[in-house]
Amino acid sequence: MKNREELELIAKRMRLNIIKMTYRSGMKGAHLGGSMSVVEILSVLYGNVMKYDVVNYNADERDRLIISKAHAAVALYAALYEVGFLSAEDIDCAMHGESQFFEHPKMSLRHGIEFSGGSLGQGLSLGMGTALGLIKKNNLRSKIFVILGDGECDEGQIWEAASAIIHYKLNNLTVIIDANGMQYDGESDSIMNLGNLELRWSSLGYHVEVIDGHNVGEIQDALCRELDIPKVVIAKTIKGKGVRFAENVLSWHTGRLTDELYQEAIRDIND
Amino acid sequence: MLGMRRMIGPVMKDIIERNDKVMFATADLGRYFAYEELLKTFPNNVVELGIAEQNLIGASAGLQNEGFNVFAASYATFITARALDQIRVNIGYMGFGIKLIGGGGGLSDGNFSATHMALEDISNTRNIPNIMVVAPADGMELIKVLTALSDFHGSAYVRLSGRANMPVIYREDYEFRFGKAVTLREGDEITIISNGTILGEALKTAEKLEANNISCRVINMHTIKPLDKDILRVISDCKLVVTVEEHLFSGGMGSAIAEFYAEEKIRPMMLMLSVGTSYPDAAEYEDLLIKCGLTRDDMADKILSKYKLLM
Repeated sequence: MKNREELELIAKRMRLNIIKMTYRSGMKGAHLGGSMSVVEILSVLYGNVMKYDVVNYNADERDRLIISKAHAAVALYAALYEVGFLSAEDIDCAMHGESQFFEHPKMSLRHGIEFSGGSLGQGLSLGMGTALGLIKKNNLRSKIFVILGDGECDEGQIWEAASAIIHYKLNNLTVIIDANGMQYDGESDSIMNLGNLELRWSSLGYHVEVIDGHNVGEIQDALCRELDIPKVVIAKTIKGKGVRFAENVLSWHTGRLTDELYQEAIRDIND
Repeated sequence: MLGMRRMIGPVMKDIIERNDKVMFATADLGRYFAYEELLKTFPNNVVELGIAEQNLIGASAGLQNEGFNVFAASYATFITARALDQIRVNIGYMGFGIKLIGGGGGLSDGNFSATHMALEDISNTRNIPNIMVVAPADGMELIKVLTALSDFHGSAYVRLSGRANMPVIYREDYEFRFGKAVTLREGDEITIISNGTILGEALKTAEKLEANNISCRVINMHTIKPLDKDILRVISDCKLVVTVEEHLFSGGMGSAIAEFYAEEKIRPMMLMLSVGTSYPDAAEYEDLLIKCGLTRDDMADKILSKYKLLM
């Protein structure tokens, strides 16, 4: 079990690699904002919570992670590198040229990537089907984690899956919402106000917890809580967290880094 | 006699009896597909998802990933239009071998209005990578298709057609293979190519042409994708190839065949008979076929007119 300092160090290294991948992607840039906000969540998941095996990567006993907000790809790649699914060369080459590691992840179990993503709103259905499949196979130990964006909760299909998860009592599934309050066109409350997300999910029958999405202790407590109903963890986060010029700045949903911005970002993270 | 949709439940029950990894998933249309006995006998192999077609496809992909072989059934138009993004992402992009069953293909449920007609479903699905597109002609062919799919790792879209009084096309057993068209009637001056239950009218149309001294071949192109290119080459020396489908003019089987011939040196003249280019108003199935000209009389007339121009 990693302690707080170790988890935070993983998060810091992840942020440095996210910046490096973004910088190397050149003119295209990367989804920096939404990747930075999910870092601690991934650090805790891969550091302490999930069961996985880099060698026996398709073992049925593995836990399954679905990043429905798939544009956080660089964060996923950074986490996969930390635990050995991706090599240093994979990270160096990511986001440009012939690399298979591009802006949205491509399904590759040997790299620890359960499903391809990019069309928002679809990941919770994949999670629901997976969770149901596991129970039907009598695999009651594997857990499924689905990471959604809060803007992504605009999509109707999310609510189709949300009902089905409760209906089928899929207690092996945990929904994590990276709630950074922003989406492409602006602040989520002003783009499409979804009302009280906590109330909405709990009214469907979920156990809902709202936490500080950058506090590794709170994340771990919430994810490890054993319950007999499916749970939703609403993680309040900051889009672009870790780099001052990007935090809560709309234009950093995607962005490219100049040499100066790159240096500034590295300095910010290292402080 | 049972129409295709009411055969689905019983046939799936037989399949699941032999193979417990097969799942039948539906979006609140289990009774439409007569699933009662299946549900009673194998409740763990039935996945009800309510009126939520996008989740139907996504959940099926999750189940496929865990080793199940999912047959996902709903109205043809809802699956192939409403959930087309889910089809393209889960099947076209990720390659999951979900079997899609579309009830009410073509005009068969047209009494419920155009909202329940499937008139671009073939067009939508044949353009998605990794998905086979099959429209069985009658009950026997439907059973062969579903049985073959229960052992097949890839994805397929099975388009049902017709109603309870659908014509029997096959009176004897025959060898069914995906992608291999079946010649139902020999002839060499005109070839009619069709799929689904409208083949019954196509065969009657051929009889009328014969009565006019025109030798007419009829081919069941049950698999629209992949097309049987071999047979298209074999028949390419006939004077006229007529395609008949319960689908809009553009994008279906006729278009697929025209695309094939466009790149061939020997390229027969074609006449593409279809529902046309707009949605008909709600009416009984038989009346819709008349309105759209998909009857033996209308089709024979149109073919004769075209044939005379060619002579």
